[in-house]
Amino acid sequence: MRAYSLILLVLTLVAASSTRAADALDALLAAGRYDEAVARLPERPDHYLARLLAEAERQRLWEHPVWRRLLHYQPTLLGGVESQVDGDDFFLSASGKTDPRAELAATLAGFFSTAGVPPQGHTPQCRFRARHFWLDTQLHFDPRRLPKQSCEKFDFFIQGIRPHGISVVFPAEHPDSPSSMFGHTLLRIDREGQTEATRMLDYTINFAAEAGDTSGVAYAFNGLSGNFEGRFRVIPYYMKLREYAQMENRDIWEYRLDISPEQTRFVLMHAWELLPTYYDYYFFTENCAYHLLSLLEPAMPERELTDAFGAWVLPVDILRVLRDSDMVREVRYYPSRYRVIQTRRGRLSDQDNELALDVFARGLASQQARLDALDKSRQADILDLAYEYRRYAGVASSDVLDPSLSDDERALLLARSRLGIRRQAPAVPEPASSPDAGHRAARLGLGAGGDRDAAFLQLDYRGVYHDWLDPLPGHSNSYALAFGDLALRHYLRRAPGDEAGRLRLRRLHVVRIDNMEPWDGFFRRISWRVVTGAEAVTRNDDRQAYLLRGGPGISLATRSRHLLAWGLLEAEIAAGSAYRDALRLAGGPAAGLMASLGERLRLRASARYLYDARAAVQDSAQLEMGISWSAKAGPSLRLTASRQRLLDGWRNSALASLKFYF
Amino acid sequence: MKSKISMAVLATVIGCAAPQAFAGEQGAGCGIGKVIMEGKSDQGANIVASILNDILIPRTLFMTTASSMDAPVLGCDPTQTVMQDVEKASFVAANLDNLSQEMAQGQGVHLEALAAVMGIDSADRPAFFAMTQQEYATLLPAGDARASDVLASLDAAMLRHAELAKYTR
Repeated sequence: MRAYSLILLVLTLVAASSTRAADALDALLAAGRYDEAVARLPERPDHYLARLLAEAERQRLWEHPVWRRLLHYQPTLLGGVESQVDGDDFFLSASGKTDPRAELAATLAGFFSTAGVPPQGHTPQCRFRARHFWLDTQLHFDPRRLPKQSCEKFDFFIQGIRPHGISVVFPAEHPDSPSSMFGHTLLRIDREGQTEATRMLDYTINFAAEAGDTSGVAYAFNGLSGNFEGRFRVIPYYMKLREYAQMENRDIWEYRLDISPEQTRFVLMHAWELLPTYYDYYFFTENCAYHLLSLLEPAMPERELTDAFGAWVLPVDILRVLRDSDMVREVRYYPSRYRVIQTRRGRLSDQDNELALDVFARGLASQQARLDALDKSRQADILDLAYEYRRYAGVASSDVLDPSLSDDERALLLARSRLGIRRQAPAVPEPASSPDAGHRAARLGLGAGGDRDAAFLQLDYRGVYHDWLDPLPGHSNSYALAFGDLALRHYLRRAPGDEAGRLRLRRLHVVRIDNMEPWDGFFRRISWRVVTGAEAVTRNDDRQAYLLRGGPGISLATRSRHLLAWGLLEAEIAAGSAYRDALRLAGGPAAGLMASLGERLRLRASARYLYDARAAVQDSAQLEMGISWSAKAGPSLRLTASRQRLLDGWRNSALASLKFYF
Repeated sequence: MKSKISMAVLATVIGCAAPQAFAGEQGAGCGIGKVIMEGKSDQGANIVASILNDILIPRTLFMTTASSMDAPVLGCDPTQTVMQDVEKASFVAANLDNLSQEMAQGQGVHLEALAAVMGIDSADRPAFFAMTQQEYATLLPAGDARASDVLASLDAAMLRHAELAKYTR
């Protein structure tokens, strides 16, 4: 009898302690202490979590490429790994940022919890949908022992988006805004049966720095040092069309990807995981383009998309990576309002164009008589163009694309509707080359040149991006942009009396921007250019000065834009030992001509005279002519001849060089 | 002009963040109003955004609708910008200018997208587009019409139309 009650007591104690262990485990899970729950698992070897972890260990799932990509682990210099994600909420383990194995264990533990975690209060299963989905395919969860939770918010999210395919959207640069030159990339999640019209209803995923009100130097500094948070946002495509095509007047290129509906769904599950969290945003490296690829990678781990990049990631290079990986099925073009206006203008006579401008500038009422004299079809064209002018001008003056109409705009549209003319809007011709078909941003040049007395070899290197004589396809012919442009000369034969060494610095430009967008009756664009860096200031390239030079002007172009002429007023401030008092202040006119003949030939002539503010002997001048003949994306052969007034006299020189783009 | 250039010079470093740089977007929460006004920074835009927020279901406001430019974006739920139950109203509210233009022209991509959202068959769309042009004055009585009013007027106009009446509730 006593033995019996003793056994009963022991059994009760064992049962009690194991229940306590189970309670303790569940309590830890409910409290979000997944590391501790995992640590206490040996007390409960029969718990399903222990079985799952054992299987995960056996398969070494934390080393699997999909797990690595889902958690965005990158190797560190010290031999370990670290996740690029910087929000703490992304990790369920305290050491999750650097320990894939601990994160895997904590994640599996978390799936058993029905308690919500910050910041949105989702349970781990409902927050980490992609992880759950993928681990399920690897470990085959038993739904009786690890019940599948109902995740209403996620279901609502994915039902709204209806993922079927993905397009990469690239708003190209608009020449008026050099800051847009590098472009931008975002993803659009395409629904099944998407048509040309319904595509604007689909949702986009956009990664951007949340910069708040910061601007100027603070903005540049924070962006370079990773002080901004980079976040994903899900926004309907029509919002983005308004922002890029109608407000910023940028053409949009859509690259439809070769990706299955299942892969698309997985990408969206992963986007869901990332939406509440953030990455530190680095302009050059972890920017919108990079993280767009990093979002796609878990769905296609065998394609090492982000590994292709080194020092910097340019949005347009993303398109090249995708093309090279055979991932692009189709490319579509969506013109900006700027292009729509140009197209409409091109189809009207000069007389009708003038009337459209008058309707825009002076109002419909004042032009009604002139309009009534024309047939309805012409009236419709004129009113359509006048309305486009109005919307364009509205944005230009206020930086806001207001959906509501002004009274003038409404009057225009009312008159238009009364004409009863219905026909397709004129098709905007697609540019011959898409942005990714252009030459690559970095350029290396090898050349030889000389003047009457000297001969040299020239090596030049430019980091990014596009120059007046670079191959034109994929670029506009009214701008140039360079970051880091170095030219070195090795003198083979020196002029008599030239004592300096053989290797000379011709120029080292830090940044150079030329914006020669043409002026016309409606688009009243001011052209401008600015350059800062070091340049040689003597005939033998043996003395340099550091300068800042630039100024505004006007440029004019033919309708086809093949011929462009510009005039500027420039000022320069320079520091160099060669100058009197080591300083130079100068200003003067500059003018030039640009011609593009077909896709291969470009010509440029330019002249400049800078009057020194203090000593006429320090005046400088340059007359230069250049011609380049290129393959579509390079290489190109360039010949330039120049006559310069330098600090120690005039110099006539010529240079022939071969440029390679990479 | 000068500051614009210096900003441009600095901002060329930025690449894909540039639009946000100049926009300095803030305010009006991350409800649909803010989303509509994405990319703009003007105080007026904040006010319009607040108005738009009021048009649609209040639950789209996930933080206080601050009209100050300093309201932080953090703290709002970014997973809640997918709102298919208000898709029609948000599309119309955001694209009133484009829809007005295309209704007057009797054709256009935004009008086609609207037809799709309203569930109109391709066969009936030409009639729908023609009707919007004919009834333009009643559909858009004012330049700042509210989305709900436009949709109501569209319904009323379609009721009077033989082929389109079946699409009204």
